[in-house]
This record gives sequence, structure tokens and C-alpha cells, in this order.
Amino acid sequence: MLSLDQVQPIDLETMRAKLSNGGCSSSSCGSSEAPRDMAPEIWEKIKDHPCYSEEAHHYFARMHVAVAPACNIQCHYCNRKYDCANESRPGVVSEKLTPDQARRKVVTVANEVPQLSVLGIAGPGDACYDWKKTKATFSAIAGEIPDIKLCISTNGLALPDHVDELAEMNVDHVTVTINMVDPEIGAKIYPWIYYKNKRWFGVEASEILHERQMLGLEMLAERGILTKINSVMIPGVNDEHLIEVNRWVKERGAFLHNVMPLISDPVHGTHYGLTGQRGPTAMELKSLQDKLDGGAKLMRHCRQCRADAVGLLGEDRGQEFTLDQLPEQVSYDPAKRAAYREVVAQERGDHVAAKSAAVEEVRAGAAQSFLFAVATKGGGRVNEHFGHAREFQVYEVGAKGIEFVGHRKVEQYCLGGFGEDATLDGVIAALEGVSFVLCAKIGDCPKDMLKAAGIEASDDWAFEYIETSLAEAYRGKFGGQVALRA
Amino acid sequence: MILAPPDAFGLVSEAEGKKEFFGLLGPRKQRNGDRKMAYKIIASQCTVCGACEFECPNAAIKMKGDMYIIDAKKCTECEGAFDKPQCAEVCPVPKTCVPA
Repeated sequence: MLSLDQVQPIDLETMRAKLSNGGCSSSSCGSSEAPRDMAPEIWEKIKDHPCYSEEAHHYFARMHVAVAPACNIQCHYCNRKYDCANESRPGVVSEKLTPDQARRKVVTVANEVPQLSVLGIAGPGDACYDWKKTKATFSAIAGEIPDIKLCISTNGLALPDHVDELAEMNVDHVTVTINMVDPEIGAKIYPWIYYKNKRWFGVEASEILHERQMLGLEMLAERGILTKINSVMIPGVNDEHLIEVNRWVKERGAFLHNVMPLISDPVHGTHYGLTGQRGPTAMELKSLQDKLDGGAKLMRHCRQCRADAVGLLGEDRGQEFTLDQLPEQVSYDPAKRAAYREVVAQERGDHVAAKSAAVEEVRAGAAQSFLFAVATKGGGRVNEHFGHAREFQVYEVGAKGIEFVGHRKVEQYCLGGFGEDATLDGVIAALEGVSFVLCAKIGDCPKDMLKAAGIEASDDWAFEYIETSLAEAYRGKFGGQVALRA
Repeated sequence: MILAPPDAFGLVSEAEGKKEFFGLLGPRKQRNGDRKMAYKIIASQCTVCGACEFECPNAAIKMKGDMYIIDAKKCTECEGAFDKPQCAEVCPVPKTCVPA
């Protein structure tokens, strides 16, 4: 069987050997065809983008370079002074890079991380406002690695000024953070903006921001650039309002809507952190996301990564590629990335086929829905030990089939071979609402403690495809009940 | 309303022992006490985002070492160009771009 876990350290020959034996070696078996509800040209754009395709995020990695630190608005959830290597959240970065340093970093990563498919500029600062640096970085890298996907994130205020240049540079994906469509609500989120050489405050500031965001969104849609809307869910400020935001952005052609929980802590020094504004719980977030189902397509696999993150969405290898570790001279070698793509194309075909069979099976027999948590380190398989997991992927299994609905971050329970009871309590709390945990390995002790908390855990499906495992676990655990009722 | 002292209308002042042209509003020294007509950046608060550098209409802000500094000779506090000094307008940290 092909194993993506092993792709990273092994050489090309081993990779090819793995392709030719076992598993599904025929290219006709399954395929990475577009899903039925998506135009092929759109699928082509997103199929390797971990942020735009949930399926792709099992295989492909992104990296962010912090080259554009200047910003033109102030948000109450942001503190520009903050800088900590141990934090994982948007806007946080340990070192800012010049466009040339960014080029060296991206080439180094591309040579060593074969999963790399996307380069993003996503803060701190605004990629459209600090445009010269964004443009210089993209031009330098597109010259060396032509197939890397370029991607930016912006607050939208300066976006309309650069849409044509974005299109010229083949930037296919633009994320706009839109937290409101009502300036009265905006005034509670943005204290000020800087626009046309002037600082604007309050409702007036949010009126300008709102108009520019909508204009930018429409201009992107006209040019066929895919847009993702990020909204920060701030309980009591814009939580219910995001339903209206979803409607507005869908009408203006947004491709994806990503509702993220506010991260707020006094030690971050943000306005919200210092004034005690809380973020939503995992279940509050899910309940809002469920209400938005049917509007603009939702992204539920966002990890709210750092502005200098490197790797698959659930991991961050940024510390391996800090500036002091980069070689002075770098040249791009496409071999590893090309070989990895070959492996993925095969593996993905198998995975897609297994997934659709599992979904059909669940749909056919399902009545009640349950949440399952899966420990995985990528490749779409149950392949992470319970104690080593830094996050669990959460799936809803029931009448609608098998749907990825989010992830829960946890502290690693097992460090140095010993489990910590206090950490396990935290893991159990993070798994609120979850009935079943699938992982590659779990000890009896944590298993019993989970059971006492009403969560069943199993390593029976170690290294199997996630969806196949979920379907079998669901049938095993709940199938009996369904049969009895029928 | 008269903003400048009467001698300013002579357009020429002998401040600091040399003749300078000050325009109709009079010499800055007289309007703002002894302060030089320039802003400065409080280095300990600066996030080095660089927004001030490209908003400055006089190209008075440059990177020196790993910090941005304002060249007092070039800084005009944006007088005549904008209502308020642009570095202070755009700076994300309060009281970081301030009169020198």
C-alpha cells in the first residue's frame, strides 16, 4: 500500500518503487476528477490548494511569507506589537522577510517539502496595501517555481487598486476578511482605517471599508479569480450578523466562506483581549456554521495558521526554515515535488473511490448523526497516535453521509512516553460533543478515561482511509440500532 | 484671525542668526516654541511595519540598521501637503510617531 507518511524522507527511487507495487497501480482506478457539483475548470484551480479544497488539505502544504507588514486598518482583535514563536494564530510571525529573503526561503522549502503547492502572503499587514513588496516577492518566485500557486489575504480596503495586477500575475486565489456588511457593527470591530491620506473613525470608516470590500469582491469575480471570505466570529458583536454577510458575499460571487472563531486573550494585548471579549466555543462555532449551510460554500478545515507557517495545515514546520538556516545561494530542483504529485495522483484516486463508497454506505443505512474525531497526520488516513495528536479532525457521520465539520486543537497527551492526566482532561474537554475517537494507537488507560467521559476510542482502523473507517465504525456502533428501528 | 506674529509678514526672519524665508505663516519656531519642525519615531514602540516610509511625502523616513528613522532635515510635518503628518496617521501604535 502506498503511504504518504513515508514520502518526505525517502528518495525518488523508493517513491517510484512504491508506486509500482501494491495498492492501485492502474491510473484508471478512481481519479481526481471534479466533484459532480463543480465545473472542471474550477476544480483544476483548487484541487491542489489545501485551503480551498478540504480533500487537498490531506495532501498539500502551504507556506506563508511575511513580506508585507504595513497595514491600513486597525482591528480590535489585532495587536501589531505581538510576536511569539510559540503562538499559532493569524498575524503572528517571528521574522519579517525582504522579497529576496522570501525567495530564498520558498525555494529552500520547495526543495525539501514535496507537499508544497501554495505560497501565500497573509499578514502581518495587508498584502494589497504594502503592494510593492507583495509584487516584488511574487515576481521573483513565479520566475523560479512557475507551478506554485500564488495567493494573498487582504482586508479589502486597497484591493480594488490592484485587482488587474493580481490577474496579470496569475494570482488565482484571494482571501478577503469581511466581518460585517453593516457599518454600525463594523464600528465595533474597526476603530479606524487609513484611506486617501487620512485616518477615518467609527461608522464612517466602516462605510468606506464595506464599500471597498464589496467593490473588490465584484472585481475579482468578474476576472474569474476565486475568493475566500474570512469572517471572525465575535460573540455578541457579529455572530448572528454573519448569516447576512454570507448572503452578501455569495451574491457577489464568493467561492468559499470561512467563519473562524475569535482568538482573544488578555496576554495578546489586543483590544478584545484586554476588554474581556470572549471567543465562541467549538459547538457555538459549529452551530453557526450549520446555519450557514446552503449559502456560500463553507470552509471548515481552517487552522488559523501563523503568518509564517510552513507545511500541511495541521502542522507547522516554520522553525525548520528560519532565516539563519537558509543557504545564501539556492536553486530550485523540481524533482521531489514532481514525484510527490505522481504519488498523490495515484493515492488520491484510490482515496476518492474509497470515500464515495463509504459515504454511500452510510447514507443508505443512517438515521442519527454522531460526531467522530480522527487522529491523522495527513494522507487522508487514520495514522496518528492518540497521545501524539496536536489536533483531531471532526467528522459528522449520519443521514447526510460523512462530512468534515472541523478540527479541535489539543495539547499532546503523551510526551516522552508518559501520559499526563491533566492534559487528558483538556483533551476530553476539547472533544465536546464527540462520541467516537479513531486513532492509530491508544493505550488502555486513556481509553478507559475517555469511556468514563462518554467517548469511545479505537485503534482498530489504524492506517485505513478515514472515510472507510468512519463508515465501518458507524455501522458497528450504531448500525444495530438502525436495523432494530427499521 | 491672526495666526502669525506681525513680523512674520515681512517674510524674512533673522532667527538663529541667519536670514530664512518662512512664508506667510511665519517661522515655525515662533508658532511652536523652540521645537524643530520634524517628527521622530519612538524606537521602542515601533513594529517596523514600514507604512510610514512609503506614506511620507518627503521621503524623509528610511531604514537605518533594523529601525526606521525620520530625517529631521527632510521632515516638514507634512505641512502644505496634508492636514496631518502621514506617519502619525498611518502608524498602528499610538504615540509612536511624535513631534521631535
